[in-house]
Amino acid sequence: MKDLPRTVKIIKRTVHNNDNVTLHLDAHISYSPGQFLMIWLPGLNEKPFSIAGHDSDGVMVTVRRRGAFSGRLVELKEGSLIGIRGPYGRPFKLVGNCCIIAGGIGLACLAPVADLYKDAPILYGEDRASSRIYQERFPSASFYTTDGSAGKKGFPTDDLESVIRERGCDMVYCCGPEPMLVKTVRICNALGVGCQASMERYMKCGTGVCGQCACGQVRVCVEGTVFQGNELLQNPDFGRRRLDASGTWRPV
Amino acid sequence: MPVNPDLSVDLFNCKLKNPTILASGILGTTRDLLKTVSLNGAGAVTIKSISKEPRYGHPNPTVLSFGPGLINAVGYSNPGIEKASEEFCELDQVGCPVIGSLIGTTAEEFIYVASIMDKMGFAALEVPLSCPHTPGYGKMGNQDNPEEVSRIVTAICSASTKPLFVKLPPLASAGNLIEMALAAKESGAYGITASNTIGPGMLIDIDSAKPYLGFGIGGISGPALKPLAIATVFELYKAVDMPIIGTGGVSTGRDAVEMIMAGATAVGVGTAVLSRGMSAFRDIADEIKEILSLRGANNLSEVRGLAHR
Repeated sequence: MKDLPRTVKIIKRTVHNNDNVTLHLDAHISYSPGQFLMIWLPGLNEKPFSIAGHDSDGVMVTVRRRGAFSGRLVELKEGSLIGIRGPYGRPFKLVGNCCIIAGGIGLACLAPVADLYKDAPILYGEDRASSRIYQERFPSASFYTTDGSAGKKGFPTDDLESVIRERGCDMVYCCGPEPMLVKTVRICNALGVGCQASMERYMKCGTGVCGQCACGQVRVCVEGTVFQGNELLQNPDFGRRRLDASGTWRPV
Repeated sequence: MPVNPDLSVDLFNCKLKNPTILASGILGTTRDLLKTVSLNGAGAVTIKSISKEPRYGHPNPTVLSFGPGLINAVGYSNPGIEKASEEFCELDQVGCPVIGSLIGTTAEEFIYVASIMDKMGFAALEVPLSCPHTPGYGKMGNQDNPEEVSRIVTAICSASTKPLFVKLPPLASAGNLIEMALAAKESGAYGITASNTIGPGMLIDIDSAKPYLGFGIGGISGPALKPLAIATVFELYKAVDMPIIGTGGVSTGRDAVEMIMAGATAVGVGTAVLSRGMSAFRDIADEIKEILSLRGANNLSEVRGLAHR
């Protein structure tokens, strides 16, 4: 199967703040919420990014400045060309009566779910107010900051249990830093509520052959990135360790 | 007609339940993933190659599917032997024999890594001397000639008593293939893995006018490699009396039987993990069994080398 990166144009940029930009791509892709694209900058590198939604022009990805690659990506101008392949990964199983809980740029992965279930409560946390994304897209999201610079001071997991109880949710969708995933999965497990979390691991091929995203006995790029909470609780590496680019274990 | 042909293979003092062996570089990053491969029916598994020091490899893209196969330039990323010896412990948990793959640039490095691997639970070792895309190693390290093969195999065998497979390039890219295999044998190697990917290969994105691979050039595996690998095994079988792990484009039972008829003792499976998923090993084994059954063959030795008769 031919699966090389194909070149697409950035047709629009939505600048959320200094470090976060949504790139609207001239690419109509059939995808399911939770899936990701490998984005290639020729001559530089290729990295996985969640599909953050779509409109009539095509799909979009939201990029947070973290290293050299994402730093370059957020600076790209409208009209620039990038390479994409995908969509890859096991998506979210869709259940309507749900709650969405996101940490940081993890909200990008959950945004297509939130677009589908407009009544679902969104609990969204950032380290600081200036990192916030999608303020106009999801204006009713409950916002938390670690430093208290906006919204409620604390973490979105602080209120998860009460939201689940109030709303009687059937499913919690989660994406964010791994300690937050661990906390969310445990809360849902204790309450007997379904939970699906999207995980992040260093990826090379994105298609299940290189083994770089190994987590326990599964590959995050193929068996994930979305896992059921109970699968994660049984995974010995969940919340513990990840492989870096050399294949060395690092704490998460 | 035999209903239930025996697929087992006697290799490096082990009995493999079937001839499929996970090829090095595919999924062999952790013991837990090897366990998954074993649960999916592999007869044996090979870890991703380990060097003395950690290596981060080439930038992405490192592995791409281009249609008739994969092109890759991973660049031997690995955690180094110290971390690898922690990871690949208690290998009996894997559920099938595990082959330890090692790489190096100097005799000292090979000896260092081999002496540690010798104490680990590997059933055998493998040394690739044919990588087409990593400076210092294989083709780009001038290791693909009989003199270097001899020197490196001698070094490894001085540090480890485990059966050693030498992974050689396809015949199409190595005029001295037979000389390399003979040098390996004379220096103490147990078997040959043939073949490695063929390369260097390159694919260019015409929009950016840049090679797709981060490193530019890479090695080609999968169906595109298969005829080259079959011919390699065929020639090796004629010239050298050693077990051969026939590797290159084996994705069906038919491919595997072809490889075995060319003379392979067992078959490496790599790229098929992409085309057929994790169950490739069990599926290929089932298909081999069906083919043997239809041929009225009781076991693999009845078809091994058949193309030479």
